[in-house]
Amino acid sequence: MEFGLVVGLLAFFAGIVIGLPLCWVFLGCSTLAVLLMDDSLSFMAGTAYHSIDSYVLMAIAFFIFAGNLMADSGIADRLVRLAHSLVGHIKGGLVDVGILATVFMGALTGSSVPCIAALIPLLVPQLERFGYQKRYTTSVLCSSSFLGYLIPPSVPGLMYCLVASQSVAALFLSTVFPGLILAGGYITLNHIIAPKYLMASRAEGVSSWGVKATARERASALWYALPALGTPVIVLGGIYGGVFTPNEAGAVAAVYTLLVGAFVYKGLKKKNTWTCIVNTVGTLGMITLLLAFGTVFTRLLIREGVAQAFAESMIGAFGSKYLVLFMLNMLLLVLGMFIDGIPILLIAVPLILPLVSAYDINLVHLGAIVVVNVGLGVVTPPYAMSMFVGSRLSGVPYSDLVKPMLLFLLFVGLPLLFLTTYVPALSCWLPTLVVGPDVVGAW
Amino acid sequence: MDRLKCVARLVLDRLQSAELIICGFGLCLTTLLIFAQVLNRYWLHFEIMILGDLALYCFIFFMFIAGAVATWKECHVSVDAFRDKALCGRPRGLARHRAVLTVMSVVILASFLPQVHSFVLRALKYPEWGTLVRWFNHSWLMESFGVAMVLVLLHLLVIAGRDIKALLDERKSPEGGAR
Repeated sequence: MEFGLVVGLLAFFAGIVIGLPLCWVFLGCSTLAVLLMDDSLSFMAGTAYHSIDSYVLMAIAFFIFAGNLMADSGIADRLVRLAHSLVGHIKGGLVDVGILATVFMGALTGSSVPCIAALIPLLVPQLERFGYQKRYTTSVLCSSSFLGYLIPPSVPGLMYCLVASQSVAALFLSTVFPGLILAGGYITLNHIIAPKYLMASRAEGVSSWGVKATARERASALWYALPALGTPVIVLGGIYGGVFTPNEAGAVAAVYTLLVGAFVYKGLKKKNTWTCIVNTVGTLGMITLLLAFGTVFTRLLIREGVAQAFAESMIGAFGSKYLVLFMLNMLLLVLGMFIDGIPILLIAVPLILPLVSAYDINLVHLGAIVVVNVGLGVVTPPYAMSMFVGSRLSGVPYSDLVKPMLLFLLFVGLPLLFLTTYVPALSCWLPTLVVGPDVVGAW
Repeated sequence: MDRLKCVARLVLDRLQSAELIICGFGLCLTTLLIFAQVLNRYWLHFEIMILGDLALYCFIFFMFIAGAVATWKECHVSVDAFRDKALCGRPRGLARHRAVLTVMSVVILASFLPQVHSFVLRALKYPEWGTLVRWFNHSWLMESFGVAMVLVLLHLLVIAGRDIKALLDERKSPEGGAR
């Protein structure tokens, strides 16, 4: 490896450690490495410019926009009401309401933070009335936020498709079973540990679980939630029915959410719609610079053979496919503890592609593994984005959330990761069935 | 001097508002163009071939400007875990760290601008007209990339000025100086 490249890589790690914004880390170390290698810098501007020229990125923008509109439109309380009518009567089921509502919200927003931003202010104070400790309910909701990445549509899934050039339709389906297993695992674990977190005092005459909803109440809750639930039906039905492409699905989802939020639920007014647009623009701007300069950095690494060298060293060191997958998971998990999902996807995926092709690992399967890892990164301390947001919204100190969240991570999150990694059928069977073996490939 | 500061502040505010309006309008227009493409395909059946390409151009343009918005809104992602650990409870250290990082960002971007400049000059010299949208010159997008990078640098300079001023204020204050 050339001296300039080594210095560039060292500068990359140093930049991350000192807390320099990642887009400038990518740009700075690429420039440094190229200058020290006495190479031409001319490819950088063109590469940065062309990285934005993509329809998949447009789909990402639309889904982020739709997610932000969704979180502000008053849809969340209808979904909570529906979830409550379904599982609220079960002992510990009031917390299940939160988990189920996250599944619904995940199917609407495709992201993690908008899910909890909408649900925590709504659910945590109510559940406290029923005797559940705030730190427990906040932890459960923060842990469940990960579901937003697994239940399609998924923004990290789209990002993976952009980087690895994979079918969006196949990748969306690859995380459905992992998502449902995760939700089931959380609900089961909640039933086991929830009694520990029930407070002795609760509002007078209120039990820690609700009254079973009648069929009429359930029908009414479903009726009110129906317009919101129309979004995943339109998006997924449209994509898999061949009605529209993923970016068209995103645009349709955004327009539909805007109409439902403004005219049906009446939660979207001029002011908060503008706030949603401003927030979306901020997020997209961050993604633009990350993607532009991250692509420059990874292009440099690939051009200089770093990806190939990484693949060869991993094959030489571990030999077996299962060990290599295990080490990849460890690498992605450690990265996820400190770095946000999008930069991980930008740096790690191009680097591991030669490695996985050497072992004939299916790229849709790899996508599911990567998305699960990125999702785990959102709930893994110390840099757990969901915990930061959850702590701020509920007023529970960050440190109080760590213990209950670790239980969910150790007993559900990590087993799910290994299940997804070592049972390819879990992520490949459904896409093969729906979009066909030609698109998914052999697994 | 104060008057000059006021004018600069006003210009900056207007610039930020203009960037936000361009991006907000761009986002809505892109969404509507793609939505119109779906409507047209299934219901209207007009022979409009340009919607998809036009939406992509609009998208690319507003995404570059959004980069500038993300800079002044300070939305950039960084790894704060180590900084928080090392500088917890040290306001002066934090202020110094912040100022150093912003200056580093300015230097990094400034070193990239000559490349952007050559890229934009090349785009100006060789126009690339669209295939479906015949009147659209792709070079405009490349030029907008250059403009966006200059805007990002401008916002970074403003942030750097603010951080350096905060560092100087921190030094002057007795609490800050004690650490």
